Amino acid sequence: MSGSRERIFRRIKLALKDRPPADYPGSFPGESPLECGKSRQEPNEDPPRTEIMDRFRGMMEAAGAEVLVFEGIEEAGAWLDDFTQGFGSVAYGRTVPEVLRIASEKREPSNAELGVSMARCAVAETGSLVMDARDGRRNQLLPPTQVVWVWSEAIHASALKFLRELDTEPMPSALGLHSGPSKSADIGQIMVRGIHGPGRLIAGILDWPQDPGSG
Amino acid sequence: MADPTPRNYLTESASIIRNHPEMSQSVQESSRSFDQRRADAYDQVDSQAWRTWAKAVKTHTLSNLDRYLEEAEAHLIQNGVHVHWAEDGQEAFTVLESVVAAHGVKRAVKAKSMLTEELGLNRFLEGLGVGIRETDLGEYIIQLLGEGPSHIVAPAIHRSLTDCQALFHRELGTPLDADPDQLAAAARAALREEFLSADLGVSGGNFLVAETGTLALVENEGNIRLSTSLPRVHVAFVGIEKLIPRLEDLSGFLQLVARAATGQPIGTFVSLIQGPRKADEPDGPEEVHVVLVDNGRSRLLAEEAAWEALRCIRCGACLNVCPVFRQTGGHAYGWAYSGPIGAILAPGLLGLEAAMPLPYASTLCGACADVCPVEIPIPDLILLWRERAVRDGLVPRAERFAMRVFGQAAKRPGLFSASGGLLRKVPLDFGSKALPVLSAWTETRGSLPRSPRLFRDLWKDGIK
Ligand code: SF4
Repeated sequence: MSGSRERIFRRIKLALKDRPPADYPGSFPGESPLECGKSRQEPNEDPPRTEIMDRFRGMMEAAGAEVLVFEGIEEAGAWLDDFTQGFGSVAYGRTVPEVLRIASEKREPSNAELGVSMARCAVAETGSLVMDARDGRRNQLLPPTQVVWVWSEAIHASALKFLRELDTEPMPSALGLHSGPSKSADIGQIMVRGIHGPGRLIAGILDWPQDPGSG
Repeated sequence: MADPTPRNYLTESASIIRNHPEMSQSVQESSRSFDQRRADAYDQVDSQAWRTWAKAVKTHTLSNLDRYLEEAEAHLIQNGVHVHWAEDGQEAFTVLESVVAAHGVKRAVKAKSMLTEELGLNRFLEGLGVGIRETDLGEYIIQLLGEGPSHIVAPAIHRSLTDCQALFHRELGTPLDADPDQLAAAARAALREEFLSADLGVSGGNFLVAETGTLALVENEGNIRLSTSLPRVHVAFVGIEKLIPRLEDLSGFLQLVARAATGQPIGTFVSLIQGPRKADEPDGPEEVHVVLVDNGRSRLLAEEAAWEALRCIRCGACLNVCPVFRQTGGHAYGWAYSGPIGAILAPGLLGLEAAMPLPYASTLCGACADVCPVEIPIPDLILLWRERAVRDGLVPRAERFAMRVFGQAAKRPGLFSASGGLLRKVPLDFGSKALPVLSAWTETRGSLPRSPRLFRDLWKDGIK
C-alpha cells in the first residue's frame, strides 16, 4: 500500500515541521560493576574473567537456571553421559561440537525429552544465553529440559558490549536471549515453570581455551 | 454482548466494584505485587539515570520519526522482510488477508500484542475462517473466557486460581482442584499441538531497530519465540512509534522495560528477529512480514505536548500504581489500553469524543509519572485532554466549571496543593456531580466517607 506509506510520511513530516529535533543522548549509561563501555569511542577494560563468570552464574541462578562449570572436555563429556541417563531421548543443536554429543537415542526436537544446544555467546550483566538460529530454534525451545553449552570466553560482561560487537557481524535470521526457564504467573498470579519453552535450563560453561577444532 | 467502549466506563467500573469484588481484589493484590517488584528492581540500579536516558532516546527518535522509519524500512527489506504500511486497522487486515490467501493459512498462533488488540485482529481472522489461538497463557485464559485483556502485561490479572480451575476443568478436563502446575501442564500440551500445526505466527513488536531492521520481542513464557519460529510464515504488526535508532540502545530498553513491568533484570526470552530463515539454518519461517501501523499515531504526533504519550513502551507500571485502575482492572475502560496510559492514548488515537470519559479516570495523584520508565508526564497530559474536553463542550457545565478551576490550579504546584485541601471541604454531593467517577460510585454505593488527609500525602506515606 504505497499510497498509505506516502500519506503516513506526509502526516509525520507535517507533525514535525515546527518541532526542533531532539538530540540523541549517547549510549545507555548502564551502571553495573560489569558495565564495559560508557561511550562508543572509549570502552573501558573488561573486568576480570572470574568476575564476569560470577555475575553470569549469579544472574542465571537467580532466574531459576542451573549453572555448571567444566574445566576440560572429558569432564563435560562425562557429566553429559551421566546426565542423559535420566532421559529417554535427546535432540542436539546443529552447532554443538561433535565431542559434546552423547550417543543416546537421538530424536526430532518436538518429541525429545532433552535438548542440548550451543549458545553463540552469553551476557553476564543480565544472565542471558544468546541462542543463534543456525543452531536450530526448535531444539532450543521444544524439549522440556535444555542443556546449553557456552564457552567461558564468549561471555560478554554487558548487554551493551554484546550488542556493539554483534553490530559488526552478519546476523542470523533470529537470536534468542534465554535468561532462565520458561515461566508464567498468569494462573492466579502463582509462578509456574515450563509453560511453553524449557522448564529446566542448565548452562554448561566450557572453561578452557577454545580449540578451533572442537567447535 | 455489545462491543466494549470507553463511553460505558462509569457504569462498567461501578458494576465491577459492586458486583465483582473478587475481580477488584485480584487486581489489587496483583498490581501491588507488580509494583513492589518494580520498586525493588528500580532501587537496584540508577533508575533515574536510566529513565532520563530512555526518555531522551525516544524523544529523539520521535522527533526524527520519518528518517528512522525510512532507515528501518530499508534494512528490513535488505534483510528479506516484506514491509507493509497500514494507515488503520482495515489496511492492516487487508495485508493479513493477502498473506492468508497466498499461503492457504488454516491455523494461526498468536503472541501477545497490544496493537493487535487495538485493531481487533482476532475477530477478523476468525471471519476469514482461520483458527487463531492466543498462546500467552494469560491471553489463552481470556480467549477461552471470551474476554479482552485486563492489563497490558498481565491480561488475566482479574482472574483468580479458582476461576482458572473452573475454566480448565470445563475446557481441558483437568480436575476441579488441579494445582497451578497441573493446569499449566494441560495448557502446555494443548498449545503445543497448536504451535506444531499452525501455518502462520502473528506477533507484535516491542522495539524496531532502525540501524539494522531488527525486531525485538520480550516475554517470559517462550510462546513468542515459538510463534515466530515454528510456523512457515510470521507476520508482525508494529506501531510506527516503536522505533529506536541503534541496536545498542536495546541494552537499555530491554533491561528497563523488564524492571518496570515485572521487576526482572530482563525478560526471560528476548527474540531479535532479522528476517526469514537463512540457507544455513535448520528451521524458522520462510517468510517474514512487518506491517507498520499508524492507526492515529501520526495524528497524535502532531498534537502539542500530547505526542509525548507515543514514548510509551507498554510496561504497565502506571497501571499497577494507579489507585483508580486498581479498583476495577482494565475491562471498565472499554478499550485495549487501560489505566493512566489508556487515559492519554485513547483521546489521541480514538479521538477525544470517542475516548470520553477516560481522561477523567484519574485522581491526578502523580504516581504514574513517578514510575514511568520513559518519563511521560501523564497527569499533565490528562489535564490537557480534560481542558480540551471542556473547551469542546464534551463535559457537563458543572463539570466544566470544576475542571477549569481544577485545571488552572493543577498547573501551579502551590495552588494545586491548596485546592486539593479545598476540594476535601466541598460537599461530596457536589463533588460527585463534578467528578463522574464519584457519581458512578455514589449511585451504587451511597456517599463516600471523606478522608481526613490529602490523598497525595497518604500516598507518600505508603497507603495500601
Ligand atoms: S505510560 Fe509509561 S508506565 Fe505506563 S505503560 Fe507506558 S511506559 Fe509504562
